[in-house]
Amino acid sequence: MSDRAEKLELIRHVVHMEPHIILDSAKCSNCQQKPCLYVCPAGCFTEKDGETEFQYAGCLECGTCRVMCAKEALKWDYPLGGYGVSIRMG
Amino acid sequence: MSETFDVIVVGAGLAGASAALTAAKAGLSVLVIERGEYIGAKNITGGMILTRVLQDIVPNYWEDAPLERPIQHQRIMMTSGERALEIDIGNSTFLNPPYNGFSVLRKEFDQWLAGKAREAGALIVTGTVVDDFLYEGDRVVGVKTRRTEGNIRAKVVILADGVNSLLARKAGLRKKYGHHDIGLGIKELLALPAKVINERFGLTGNAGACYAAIGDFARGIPGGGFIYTNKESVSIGMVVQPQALAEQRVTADEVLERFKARPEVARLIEGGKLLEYSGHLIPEGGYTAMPKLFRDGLLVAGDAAGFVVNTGIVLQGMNLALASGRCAGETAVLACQKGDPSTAVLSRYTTLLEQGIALSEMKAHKKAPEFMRSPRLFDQYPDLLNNVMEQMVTVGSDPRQSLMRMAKKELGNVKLMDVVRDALMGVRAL
Repeated sequence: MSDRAEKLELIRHVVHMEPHIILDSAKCSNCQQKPCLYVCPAGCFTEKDGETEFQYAGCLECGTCRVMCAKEALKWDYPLGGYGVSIRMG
Repeated sequence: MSETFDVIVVGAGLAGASAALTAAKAGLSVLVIERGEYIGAKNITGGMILTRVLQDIVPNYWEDAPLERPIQHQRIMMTSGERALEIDIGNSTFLNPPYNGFSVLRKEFDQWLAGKAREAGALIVTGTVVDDFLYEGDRVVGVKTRRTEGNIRAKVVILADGVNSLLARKAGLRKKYGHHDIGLGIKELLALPAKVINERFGLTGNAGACYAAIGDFARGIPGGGFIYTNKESVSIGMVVQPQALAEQRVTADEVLERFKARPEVARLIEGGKLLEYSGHLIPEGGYTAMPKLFRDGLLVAGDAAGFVVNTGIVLQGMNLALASGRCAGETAVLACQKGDPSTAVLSRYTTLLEQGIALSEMKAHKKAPEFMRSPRLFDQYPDLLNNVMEQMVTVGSDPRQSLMRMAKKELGNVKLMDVVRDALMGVRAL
């Protein structure tokens, strides 16, 4: 079994200072299911003291969170041109 | 850039490159705008490309395309507890031109195809995001990019910006995806020497094999595993339904690890060094989930338009991207020749798509997404088939039953009406 953290380390990202996805945490507070914690293949969503936290730097830009967020709490956009995930082999 | 182009293509993936190549070959001025750092930076595949359409677009493509292995063996694996049933659909003619399909890695492959468009005269700009359209009345007359002075005009805009086409929504062509309209694909690329791959997969030379797997490793999560042999690596991954992940509180990666831990799978990938991990959405909603394909001045192709067919065994996406891109390119040529990019002319797109494989495949497999969502397909049927097969090969001390009786007894575990419904739906869908 391999660890997901090791897998994620292999991904090439060109991180821009400006986040391309913004989470409105207030909208998360009354979400029971929190699909984001499970559907994100890069584990960008975590839960701390009952609050959902999001970091955009490891995002694969797959868009699963965009479709699955039950509270429409995400302002989802693409990173600036040339930034974000850069698949090396595909 | 104050120049006006005949055609602007958004996205340099397979649909975009195919559209650009088609339009440029016909002599149009074509600009392709790609948001990635380089072509292919945002693209992944499982993956095998079915190549008959490619042959139409780039004749004798195999002479210089960066291909991995021609797929000779397509295998289906159904796991159930300690058992695994494997079916091998082998065809040695698939090793000869024009072939049936090749495993590919997208960065190299997409760069090669975009190179063909460039050779035909298309201009390709990378590292640029298109945010919106320019309109004149209701007609799309160009794009707004995120660069300063980034408005560029064109007679026809072709959207090939992938599964998360924010632009198709902005143009009012697409509604929001329902939870069942998407599949989440994740993949690992594992390095293995060609000799080891050949030994383990039972291959010779550069022949390739692939697996489509369903069964108890994904218990409760509709979806399946896949394995494709490349030259010196193996692509292994899963396509799963995100809604089920949320309900079961499990990540796609955990399901993939369960698949990899199956002994039948573990022996194939043992010692493989991880080269890349990636994830991507797949528009799996099928024909009924497709957006509107055009409006004045605008056409949509590839994943952005939902051109994907998944029948569990044969997965079509890249070939439909190529086919739809080509039709969009041809439609743009027609619109430019007539000097009229209105829907009256652009509706020709639908006709071309129907005459080729793109829309006819989508329509023929209209019911496949519904069938693929049946939870029975992913657990009860693999169990049932394994039970019957186990009894076939096991001789106990009790009196022998006929195969038919065994099958009937096993079917007792599944509601007969469900079997009938699934069988009918399966026949209609696939």
